[in-house]
Amino acid sequence: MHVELSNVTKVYEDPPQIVTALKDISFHVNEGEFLCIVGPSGCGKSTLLRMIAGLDHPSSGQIRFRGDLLTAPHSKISMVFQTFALLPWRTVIQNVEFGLEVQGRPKKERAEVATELLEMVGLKGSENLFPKQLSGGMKQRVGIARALAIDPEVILMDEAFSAIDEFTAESLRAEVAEIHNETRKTFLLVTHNLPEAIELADRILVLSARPAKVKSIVGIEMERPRIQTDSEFVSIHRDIFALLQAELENSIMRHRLSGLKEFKRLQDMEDR
Amino acid sequence: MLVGALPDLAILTLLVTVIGRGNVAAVAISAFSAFFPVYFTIRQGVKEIPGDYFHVASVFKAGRVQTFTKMILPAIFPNLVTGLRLSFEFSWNVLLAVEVIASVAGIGTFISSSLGSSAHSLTYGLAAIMTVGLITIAIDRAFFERFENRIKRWR
Repeated sequence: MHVELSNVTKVYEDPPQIVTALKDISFHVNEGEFLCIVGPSGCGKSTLLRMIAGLDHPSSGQIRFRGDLLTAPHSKISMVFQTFALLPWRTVIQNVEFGLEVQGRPKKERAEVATELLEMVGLKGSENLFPKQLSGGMKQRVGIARALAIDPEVILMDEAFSAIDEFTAESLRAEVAEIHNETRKTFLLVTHNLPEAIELADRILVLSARPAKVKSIVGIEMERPRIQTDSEFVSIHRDIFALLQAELENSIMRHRLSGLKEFKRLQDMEDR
Repeated sequence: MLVGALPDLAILTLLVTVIGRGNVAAVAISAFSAFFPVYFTIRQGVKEIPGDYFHVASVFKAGRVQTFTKMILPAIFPNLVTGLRLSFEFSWNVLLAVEVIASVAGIGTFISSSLGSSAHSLTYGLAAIMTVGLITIAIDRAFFERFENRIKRWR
């Protein structure tokens, strides 16, 4: 087991209110596996990922990486952001080198690694451009290259394709699938895009509405590349969509009872 | 906040009474007036740093010092330049006024005394004002514009 969560609970305290966002989440990710996490919006998927990244801490429960307790960011766990989060004053290659630079690696080694990765993500020739000169898809390619540069074992992707137009996202997903296939690194992708999850995942973790629990873990054994119009794809989609829809209705019922205002407030709290 | 809102030029007179007249007062007051533009623009700059930049720094395990030098400092650099530019222009003006109030010999005193007397010395006064203006522009071009052009490449 590469990454393992046991009974992870996250509680936000905003006195006098105490809100449970995640409750007793337990699952594991195998080495080299591509795990996608889906769930109703505002259910705490991103919080879950941030905790594995060491950016947030569980209120109770444990997260282990290779058996060791995770309490802070780990040098073998890397992350790709929804907002790309490139540092705008750095050129493309300097952004990719960021992690290695922080680690104090020699300049020559940094440049070699970054150049190779930029070539892999199709950005050869753009090394000295600034992020503002790039399209969304290109920015995320830089984000992916930056995440790979530190040679991580685990790559966390937080809605990594959501801020990119669908055409570009489609080809980027195919590339990520290829990178996963070649490198056999462990990938964790949080997404609200179910077809995206089915396309990429070895297994899909379905979370319930707040307080989020593990609703189901669905193994996807379909052959790759996966075509959205294949009957197998369609039937997997239908099954998981039904699970999510049931959750959505549940949560709507619950929120009707407790009032929409409250729901909004909870979402705001998570956004913070 | 309150200190920044106070009328600086009015405080000058007060400070001169406290510190006394002379060079020390002139420099102290000028420095005092230079502080606030820089302080407020930097504070604004830090507030505007996107949260994800901090997440990037953490995920890639930058320590406190590296987070500051590789992330915060470059992120607020544009604000720093703007603040310094404002401070520079402002404290330069304040300095001229303060020379008069604190009775220090200098270009400010020169201007004020020449404008006060005959038509002949009015020419000197105007020339001095022009000189101050030209020096301001020269320093602005030499320093601040260069920095701002650098920033424009990525911003």
